[in-house]
Amino acid sequence: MDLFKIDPGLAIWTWIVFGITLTILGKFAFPALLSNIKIREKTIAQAINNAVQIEKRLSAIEQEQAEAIKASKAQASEILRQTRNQAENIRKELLEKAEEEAQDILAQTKIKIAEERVAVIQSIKSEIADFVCDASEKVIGKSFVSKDDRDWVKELVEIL
Amino acid sequence: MKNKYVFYFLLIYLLFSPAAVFAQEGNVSEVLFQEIANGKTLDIFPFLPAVQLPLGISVHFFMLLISAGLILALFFYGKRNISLKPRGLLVVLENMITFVQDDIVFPIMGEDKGAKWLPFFCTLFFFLLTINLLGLIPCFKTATGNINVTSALAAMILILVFAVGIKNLGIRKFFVNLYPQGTVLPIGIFVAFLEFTGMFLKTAVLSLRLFANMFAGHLAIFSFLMLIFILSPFAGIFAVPFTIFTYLLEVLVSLIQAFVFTLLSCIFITMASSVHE
Amino acid sequence: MDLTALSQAIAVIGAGIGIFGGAIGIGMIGAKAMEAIARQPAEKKDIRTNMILMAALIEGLAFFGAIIALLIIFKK
Repeated sequence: MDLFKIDPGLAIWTWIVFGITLTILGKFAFPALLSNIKIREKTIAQAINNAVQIEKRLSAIEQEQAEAIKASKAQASEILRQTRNQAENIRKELLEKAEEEAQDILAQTKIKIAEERVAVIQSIKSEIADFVCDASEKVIGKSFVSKDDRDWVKELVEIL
Repeated sequence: MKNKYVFYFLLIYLLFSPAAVFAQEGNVSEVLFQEIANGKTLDIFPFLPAVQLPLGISVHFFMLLISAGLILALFFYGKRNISLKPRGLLVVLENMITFVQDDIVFPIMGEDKGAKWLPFFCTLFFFLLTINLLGLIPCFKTATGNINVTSALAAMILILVFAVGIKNLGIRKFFVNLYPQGTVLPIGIFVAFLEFTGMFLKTAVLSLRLFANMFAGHLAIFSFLMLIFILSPFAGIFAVPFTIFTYLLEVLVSLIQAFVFTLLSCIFITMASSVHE
Repeated sequence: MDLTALSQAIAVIGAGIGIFGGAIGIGMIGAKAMEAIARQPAEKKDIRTNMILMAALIEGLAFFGAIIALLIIFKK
């Protein structure tokens, strides 16, 4: 029977072949290959780590950005509010000033007008007095009116 | 498709190779065993007389040499084309190495010890795998279908079990370790005896399993083909599909057996050097 | 009856019984492994490895029977 034929030569050759293969591979091939695999694993792990960190940093930056935008928006609205307030104030002041000025001008004008009227009335009165005198002189036909009379007429007109 | 023609060629080769032997000999069981058993000749071409191997070396030894050469070629190819971005065969090689590393050695031995033992188990795995698969090429024979080869490998594992155990635990502790603590003396001695014989038995079964799987698998392939010569030529209608099925099953079996042999030897070596709780 | 023919017949029956036992064992392993995977899909890899290991252990026993039968059948 061939099935269980004992063949010590083949067994020894198996050992020898396996041993030679193992020594050659262990000495020359395995260190390089295994270190290569390890390096690749490390590289991949590092890359993944890096990616995670970058993502983290990115999200942090995004958050920062959002915060900054928020803050600047708030600032802008604050500034806007302040400016609006200021503008309002200034406008109010200007308005008040203008009104005051206008009233001043009005008052002065009124005073002037009053003065003018007084002056005009005065002149009209003196004119009237002169006119009355001249007219009465023409009617009577001679110059009877002295200077005193004229003054007198004038006084009368004044009283009128 | 180019692959299709390769497949047809292999099929025809597979069909004719036992037929050639059958034409020479005549007896069915003789032919069956000649397909599997060791010999001094290798019939490479169907219908041609078998080639006498040089120096009178046997076929199984020749297969061992071929597999060793293939492994060396593969690894040195991988080493020469080493890069962080692997291409071609290097991908296959590195995947196999990481398979042995992540599925066999590291879960059982742990990272520190496993890194030291990884080359050994990798070589063992590749060696068994190439021998198993070489046997599936028509006109080649499986060296693992020979009990001398498998028992040589198993004996190597047995020696390693003892050597590693004694080296790690010390010769006294190694044998004391067999005795379960806290048991009554006669039972304890019996258990220790069982453990001690179990070491030999486990490795013996290790060799027998591989041998039986490869041997019986190839026997099944050829038996289905032999139906053509035993029954009638028309039996080929059933025999050939069954042969192909068994052949493809054998590819799976040769992978699984290489895996199991490596896994079990890893477990035995680890168990011998660890203290029982 | 020829004694060798009888022994061969019995050997074949013995191989059949051995394979029967192996088949039961592997079937149970497969069923339990599938259950375990269904219960805990996260542990799939570990379970598969152990399943193949156990199946191989039983398969070895079945092959024992087959080889002993073969030895008897092809005995000269």
